[in-house]
Amino acid sequence: MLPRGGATRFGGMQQASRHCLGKLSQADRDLVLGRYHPGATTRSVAEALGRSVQGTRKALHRIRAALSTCVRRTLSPEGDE
Amino acid sequence: MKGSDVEFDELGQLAAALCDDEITPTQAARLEQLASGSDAARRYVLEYLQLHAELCWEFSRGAETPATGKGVEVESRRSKSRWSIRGRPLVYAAVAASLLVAIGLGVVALYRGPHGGGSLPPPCVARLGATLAAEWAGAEPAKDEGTLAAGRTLVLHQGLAEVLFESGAIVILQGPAELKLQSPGSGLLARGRLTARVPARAVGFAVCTPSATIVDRGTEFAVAVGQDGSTEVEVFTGGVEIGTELGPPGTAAGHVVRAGEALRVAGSALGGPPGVERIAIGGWHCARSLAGSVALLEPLVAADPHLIHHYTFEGATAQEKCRDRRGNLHLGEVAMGGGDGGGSIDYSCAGPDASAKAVRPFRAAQLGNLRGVGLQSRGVFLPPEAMTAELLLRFDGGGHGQEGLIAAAVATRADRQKCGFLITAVDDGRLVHLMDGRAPWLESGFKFVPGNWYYVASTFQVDVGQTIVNTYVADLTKGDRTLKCVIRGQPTPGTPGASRLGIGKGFDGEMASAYPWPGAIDEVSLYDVALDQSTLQAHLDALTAPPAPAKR
Repeated sequence: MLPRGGATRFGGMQQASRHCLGKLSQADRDLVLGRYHPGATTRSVAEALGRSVQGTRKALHRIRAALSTCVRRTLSPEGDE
Repeated sequence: MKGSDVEFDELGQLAAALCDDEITPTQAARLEQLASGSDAARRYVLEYLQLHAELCWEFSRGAETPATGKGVEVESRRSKSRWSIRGRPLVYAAVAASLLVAIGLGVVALYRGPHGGGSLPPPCVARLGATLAAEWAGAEPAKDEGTLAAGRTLVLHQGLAEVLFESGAIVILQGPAELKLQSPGSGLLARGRLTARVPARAVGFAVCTPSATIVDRGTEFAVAVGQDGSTEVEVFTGGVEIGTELGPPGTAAGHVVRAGEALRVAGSALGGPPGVERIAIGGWHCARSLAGSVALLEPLVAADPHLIHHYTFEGATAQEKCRDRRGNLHLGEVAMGGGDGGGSIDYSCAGPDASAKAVRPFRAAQLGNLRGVGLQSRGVFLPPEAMTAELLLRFDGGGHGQEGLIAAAVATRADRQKCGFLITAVDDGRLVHLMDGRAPWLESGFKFVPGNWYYVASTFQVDVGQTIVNTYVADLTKGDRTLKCVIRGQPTPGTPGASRLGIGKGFDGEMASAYPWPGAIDEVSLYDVALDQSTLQAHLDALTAPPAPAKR
């Protein structure tokens, strides 16, 4: 018994999240890559980019929220396109 | 979505703080409050945290950095870890589980983040409770300390061990098994089996495996992880939500399993979406209490180097149940020479304890010696010169006119003379043996009480045209904890004949299938050595050990 629709089309969360990462702007993608580099923290990324910690935190939240929405739509039976 | 945008924005901010390992106890409490307020809010946070876990894994190998600017196609360059399932290692499952169960358990404040951030030592998340015949890799986890820290991996070679999570969930780990403690409300079962009892205050307890995440919704359930990473979940009470690679628990791509149901998530490394199928409950032996049981006996038997054939009758299908777990003498159904008598084998017969299901061959009420259905190996069994036959059985009697009843539990027959009635009951349940068709039965003087479960083991040592027999019995229903030797060193004419192996059946003088067993059979084991009484007593101990005193 396999789930139908978008989940199958994209092969799950992994493919869906990659698909959505690919839709980010280069700046947002760089921010995500920096934050999730092993050992990195929001604070270290902010310092590396010369941005405020609070601003970086807000930006990351915005990006995560957008990615989460994108992934949900991608995994829905109708897909996101 | 019922909550207001403002509420969900706050939820998101709090979830972000949790992801960033900067959440305060006040914020954690608020997050729990909001997330438990509605299914929509809970789902929102689950998706947010699932995404965070996904990103942790996606970039956990440092394959991409901002400096490269090469986009996100990182899969092909990533090497697979030894735990990898379709390229996703257990670290992914671990992060996902920790995050998913952080909600609703009152454990958010303890969470340290997927990268182990924070300067505090890892929190203690569980205690080791009672154990039974436990053998650990290395030293046993320190009971005197009473606490086990997050990140600790328990490797149990054998026996049973109770793990008491701080959330209130109680896990019985069934060796051989490997469980990594993740949080007060979650563990990562890399291999083996466990049973979890989750009280109301610990609802949301999660077990992560290489192929699934099982989130409790107030229940008792069991999880088994196969060597290929597949996961089987059985639910005894309540219900669980199961997530796979296709989506986390509680989402449309997840699965709900309720009391009396079971689910298998395939763990093959073939790629593509994971296969999920509903299966019959009771497919394997799971220990639901810390006492002797078939679940404890089975791994002990399996660890014996002299074991040559092992029939546990576990599995979701008849074919799986009939598989030889040690050798290649798999079993199949066979009707007696006089026909099947209109019956069939029951593969879901109640076993000697709650951890086990047994098989029940069929013996017709009329002309029962010739009519019925039993099991028989597809290949020929070559009895070694020294061997042991061990099994659990229940003799239900042959109905009216038991005079002349012959019922074979384990048997071979090479020709009219050369036979191997290894474990047999005659007439009203007398336990006998026979190696020469022209000789009289070797009488044990022991008689089965109809309806009672027994542990029976016989050793056979060939000695110049005869066989020396030892037979031991324990009445499990009566509570026997010491083996009774009913035949000690008795010679009987003949030697066991080579033929297909009958389980729950034998062969008549014309080699036709006959003498079906009227009752249930479980855990049939054959060894290429005559095991000594102390070894067999240890097997009985595993079956009958009294419940370990609870440690709370």
